[in-house]
Amino acid sequence: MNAVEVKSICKSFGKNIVIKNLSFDVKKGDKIAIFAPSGSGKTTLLNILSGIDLNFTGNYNINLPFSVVFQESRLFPYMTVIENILFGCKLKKITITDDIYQKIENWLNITSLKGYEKYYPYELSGGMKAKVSLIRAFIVNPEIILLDEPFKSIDIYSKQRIIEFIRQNYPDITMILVTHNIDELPLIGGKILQFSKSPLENYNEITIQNNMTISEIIEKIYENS
Amino acid sequence: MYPPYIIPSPFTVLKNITKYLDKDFFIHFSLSIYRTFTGFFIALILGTFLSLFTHSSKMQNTFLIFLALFQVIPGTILGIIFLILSGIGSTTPIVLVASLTISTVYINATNVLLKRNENLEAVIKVFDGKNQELIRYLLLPTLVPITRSNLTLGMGLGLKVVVLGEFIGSQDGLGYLLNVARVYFQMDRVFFYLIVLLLFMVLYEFVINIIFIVFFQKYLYSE
Repeated sequence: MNAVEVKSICKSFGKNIVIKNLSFDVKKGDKIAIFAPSGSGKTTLLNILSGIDLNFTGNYNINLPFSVVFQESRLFPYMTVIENILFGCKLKKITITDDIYQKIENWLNITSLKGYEKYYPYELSGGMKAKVSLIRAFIVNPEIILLDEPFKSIDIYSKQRIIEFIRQNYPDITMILVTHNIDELPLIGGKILQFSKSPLENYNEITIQNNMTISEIIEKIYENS
Repeated sequence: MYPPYIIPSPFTVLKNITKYLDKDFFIHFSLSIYRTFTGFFIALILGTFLSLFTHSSKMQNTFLIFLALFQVIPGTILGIIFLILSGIGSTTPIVLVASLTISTVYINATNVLLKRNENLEAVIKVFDGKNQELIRYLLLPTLVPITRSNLTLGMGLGLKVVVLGEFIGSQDGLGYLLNVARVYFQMDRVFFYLIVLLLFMVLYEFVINIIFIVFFQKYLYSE
């Protein structure tokens, strides 16, 4: 079953074409990384898929409940960390059970945010805000997660810990990660859709085997480009 | 420079303060405050809701022009029109305050809503938030800082308008007392009433500040 189907999507800003006739499918449980240079239209693609940008041609289907982690943390400044984390549940009308509190507890421990529950966003660093935004997206228990450079301001050690935590606790989740950071690719595993230039049109599909190192992935990327 | 019966010294006004603070004064003063609060809060609530409504229905540009035009009409002319329509009493100053402050409230609120945080709007949409959640979690909190300044500017304007309205067409209120004192050339009373207005505004600002610090401080935090 396809979790995400993208068919002939085109998007331009005035005369600047950023996505041209792009099609791909993502199967349920697949983890794919959209790897492209900065400014090539990755965020635009994610905005379309998440339903924020409605001004495009072509069509797409997202067949399962999804959640999004944006490039910026996008926290509500008047809500505390815990209120921001629970915000998605509140809007999606998910009853907040002990199980959800336990999951939050685990997330807070893994992200080293324990003790910061009552802090407001202005009291947190950029990396901490990014972590809160990540927890907010995962805590609604989505079946698909769209990640737009979510680790941009998170240090490498935390990043590895978080990815490992996601792998263990959300093994069946369908993931679309948008990134231009090569060091994030082995952490995700799965497939890479590699775009070498703007607009997003043709791509090379690279499958990452388990235990592949960054240099092996780089080698594969250059082989294909 | 001027004799004391034209411009009395502050000391003279303070010395005679007990003379002015009779029962009548408090009745007139409370009436003015009641009219100001009623008129201003009608404007604040209507202006804010009108702004939210026109924002949601994307009609704000039409209303902005209409209410900006409304601001051009001089208060005294409006006062006389309302006096003819509703006669002497509380209605004229209340309607005058409401009609003269609603455009300020509306224009301020609308300009803030036009610059709302679209990133947070996207978060609400992604989590299946509807229009009512958008209003509750984004638009209303966005309006808090401007409501704070509307409460200061609008109340100051409202109080001036009420006094003007009472001056033109009322037989009670602080404006009426000012008019009587002016007619009988009791300049010490005129100055006393002005001091009372100033002191009221100081007290009002203090209370509003406390309310905002206690209840709304978090809405003033930056991201």
